Formats: sequence, C-alpha cells, structure tokens
Amino acid sequence: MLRKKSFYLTTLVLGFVLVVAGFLLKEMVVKSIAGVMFGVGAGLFGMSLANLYMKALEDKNPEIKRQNEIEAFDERNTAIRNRAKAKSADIIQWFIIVLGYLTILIDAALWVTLSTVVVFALYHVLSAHFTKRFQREM
Amino acid sequence: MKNRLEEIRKTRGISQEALASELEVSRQTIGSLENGRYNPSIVLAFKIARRFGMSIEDIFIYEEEK
Repeated sequence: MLRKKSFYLTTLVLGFVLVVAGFLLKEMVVKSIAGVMFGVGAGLFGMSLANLYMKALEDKNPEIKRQNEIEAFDERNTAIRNRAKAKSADIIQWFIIVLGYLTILIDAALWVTLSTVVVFALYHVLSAHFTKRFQREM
Repeated sequence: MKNRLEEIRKTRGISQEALASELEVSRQTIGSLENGRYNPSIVLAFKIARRFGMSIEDIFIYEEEK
C-alpha cells in the first residue's frame, strides 16, 4: 500500500467513467472498443476499491500499516519479487516465440505474426537497455 | 555463508518477531538468515551487528569456497 489515497481515488473515478462510457458508447463506436473500455474500467474500479479499503484498514490500525510497509520494503521480499519477475519474463519470451509459430500455423494475418516478433525483439531491446543502465548505476 | 544470528538472538532472549520489528524487516527474513538460506545486504548486516553491539565478523562467518 505504497501509493497515496488520492491515486486510488483517481483510478476509481477513471474506472467508473470508463465503465459508464463503455456502456453508453457500445452502440455508437466499435463494439470491441466499448468492450475494452468496460473491461479495463471494471478492473480499475475493482482494484481501486480494494486498495482504498486496505488504506482505510491501515488508517484504523497503524500496526497493519507499519507491517505492510515493512513487507513492501523488506530486502529479501524485494529480491524475491525481482527474481520472480525476471524468471517469469524469461519464460514468457519462449511463449511469445511459440505464439508466433502458432499464428503462422493458423494462417493468421501477417501483422499478427509480425506483432509477436516485435514483442520478442522488444523484450531483448529492453533487456539490453536495462543491463546497460544498471551497469552504469551499479 | 554461516552465521551465529540464531544463537546470539536466543542468548539475548529476543524473539524473531521482535528482532524483525527492530530491524524493520519481515520475520521471514530473520528466519531465512538464521537458516543460512539468505545472505543479507551489507546494510542489513551492519544493522544486525550494531543491534547486538558486535562486529559483522562476530556474527557472519565467511568461508572460502573449496
């Protein structure tokens, strides 16, 4: 719970606006876009509500707040989180390759296949970028 | 890396929870340190050493890999 209450209030309102907009615009704009707005809005609204509830709980109980902060900044937890993220990203890159081949097998449009290639390339570009950046910083 | 954290903590009569709270780390981190599953950062090693009024070398034992 490291973000401020105002952040979650903003995302709550944004989520609500997206849900309402998605609902109202479903006849006027492309249906899939309205669907995306509805989905993203509902997700944002739910997440914000849950986080605001946690904030309220923390405000009533400072011990929970302190414990949550300790858990968030704990160096072992941080190391575990970073390692898990790196491992997940490593595994996902292979899934992206498989996805690319699948799009060829099912005769998907060329832009779909190329998108998977771009995502795969982007992973390596970002990886190289962050390696260089961390080498400078550390 | 081996360490004498559990032994020192128990000698001083401090619980894992109390030590974790003082050092502002999770109780699991203290447990992992004591089991030797996790090696602390140099900052945390200093904090632990200062908490017990000892030097880092008194608590953490570095052994050359064979």
